[in-house]
Amino acid sequence: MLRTTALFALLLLLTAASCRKDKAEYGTLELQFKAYYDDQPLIMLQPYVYNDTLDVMFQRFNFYISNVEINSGQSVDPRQLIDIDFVDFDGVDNVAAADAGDLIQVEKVPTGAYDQLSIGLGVPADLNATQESDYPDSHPLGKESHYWTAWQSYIFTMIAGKVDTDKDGVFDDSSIGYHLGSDPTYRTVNLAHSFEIQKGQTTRITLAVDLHQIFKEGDGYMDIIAIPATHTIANLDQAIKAMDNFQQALHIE
Amino acid sequence: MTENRILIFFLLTGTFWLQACADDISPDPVGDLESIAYDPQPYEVPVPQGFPPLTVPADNPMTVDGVQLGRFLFYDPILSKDSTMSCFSCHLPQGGFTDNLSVSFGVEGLPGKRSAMSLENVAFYNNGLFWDGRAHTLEEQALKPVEDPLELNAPWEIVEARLRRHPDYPAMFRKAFGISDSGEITRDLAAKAIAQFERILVSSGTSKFDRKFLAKEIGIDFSEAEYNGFDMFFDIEGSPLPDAQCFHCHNTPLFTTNEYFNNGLQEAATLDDFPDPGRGAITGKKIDNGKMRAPSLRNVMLTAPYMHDGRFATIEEVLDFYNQGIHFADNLDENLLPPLGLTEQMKSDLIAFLKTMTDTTFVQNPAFSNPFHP
Repeated sequence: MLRTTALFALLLLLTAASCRKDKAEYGTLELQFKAYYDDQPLIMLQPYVYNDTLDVMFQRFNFYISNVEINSGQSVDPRQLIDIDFVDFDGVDNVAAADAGDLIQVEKVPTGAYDQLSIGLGVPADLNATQESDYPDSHPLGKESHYWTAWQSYIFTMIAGKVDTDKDGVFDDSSIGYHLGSDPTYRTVNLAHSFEIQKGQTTRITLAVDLHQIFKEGDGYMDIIAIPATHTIANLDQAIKAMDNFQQALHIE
Repeated sequence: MTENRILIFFLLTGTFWLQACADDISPDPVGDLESIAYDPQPYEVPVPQGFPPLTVPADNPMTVDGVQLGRFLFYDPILSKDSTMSCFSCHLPQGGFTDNLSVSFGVEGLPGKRSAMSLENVAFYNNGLFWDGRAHTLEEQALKPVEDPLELNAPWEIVEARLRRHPDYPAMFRKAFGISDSGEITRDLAAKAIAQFERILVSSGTSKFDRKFLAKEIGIDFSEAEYNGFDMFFDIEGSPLPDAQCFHCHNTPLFTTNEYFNNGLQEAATLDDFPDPGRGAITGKKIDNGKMRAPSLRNVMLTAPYMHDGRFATIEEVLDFYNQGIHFADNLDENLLPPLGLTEQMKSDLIAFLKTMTDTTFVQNPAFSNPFHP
């Protein structure tokens, strides 16, 4: 009788243990990225004031994010959610699209309270040592447009557009080609933010960046006529400045 | 007696008539292909060093018989209204799988809207096919030219009926897809087979560029002109030569970024005024008007004339255009706004580099050739 009871107790314990494993609870985290220019929604090919003498319009704004982690104050072990992904505003052609932003969903996030979000801007060194031909075309790092052969680096952030220097409303005077990349430009953004992941629910965090702030320099903005492009490592200092600004500009809305 | 003869005559006539119509009105025989072995063997596509991995859709795995069927269909005029044209008519191996015409002509003798694109490495085109990207997959793409009135102009129902009653194709479909009877031959299976064949149209990796830079073979030397062209094409760090801005749209290893650009070819007063809206007609976005898919420059010396409308007969004309013929528009690719400032020598050097991408092994590959005239 005692043996039978012990056997049942053991079975019960085993069942309970396996149930605990199966009953881990998950929710979904949705990262919504939005782009602005001087607090206005960023819309491609729309004119914006750059400074007193220049107007600009943009054609491309996109960037890699990596090593996205969440953490709670009590934990010493952050949970990595995304190794690499791509945020793209190139097709934003109206206010509604700008307001919708670019959504990245992470499923199967363990439920609980979190208070930190960490995002890498760019491609971390280990992945930047690879190249686009190492990946299938469906992979974020498989983009032929974002691997710079001459640099042997991914383009972490691509900002492209044109400039109107004579204020005639035609943006044919100069171009902007800020293709920011290479290991020294990789940046991490740590954001304090309390949020909760609930079972079966989607929690959204909206991250915003003001593109104009990426060009900040001193009390004004970078000289995009003197340095219209960062297409080579010769302009690495400018690329670092821009990525530093990006790091500061990304915030939770 | 006479009545009996008349009756027999009508019965015979009716029988012949019914038989003649059988192809059109009776269901295809059920299970008529089951006696043919179905033993699919995977087809391994050789991919050169430095190329990305080949992605094959899960619902259309590559098999030896699937590729073989696709090859026959690709070259067979059975897909056209009057059985005079095939995919091959506009995509000839010797032209880098183009027809070397400004625009192609279909079965009605009418000109198409755009120049036939090269099919080299289409297996890696991950961002839409055709100049405007209106097809998402090769399987979807293969369906369209058959019914296009400016191309093969044949209703798929007719083509399906032809394939079902063909002496050879039902068995080939059986071997490729395991169908049980001829009635299961559909346009979707035909498109899958053609897509399988098109996926094997991969560069050989034996062009001078590939051997030197992708395979990194020892002893492959570039001439000074070739290296100068390479330098300007990729904007090599520290070079005194100008950036020819090529690689933004034509990056390695495919020499296309699979993206859409307004390269300044079309003159348009506003974004609404492009003669050919290209990508914009597909996305419905004004910012995409006038944009076209960046074509691959592999085998570019074999694929003249150039651009979506084939307006440039020679590669020299193309370089002259990029050097000083760009039309401005708000969505002009920003890299093309500043003048390139290429001298005649620089243009010549760029052409020397472009020639290093010529891959004669690819165009002469017997696996890609016309199976009806091997």
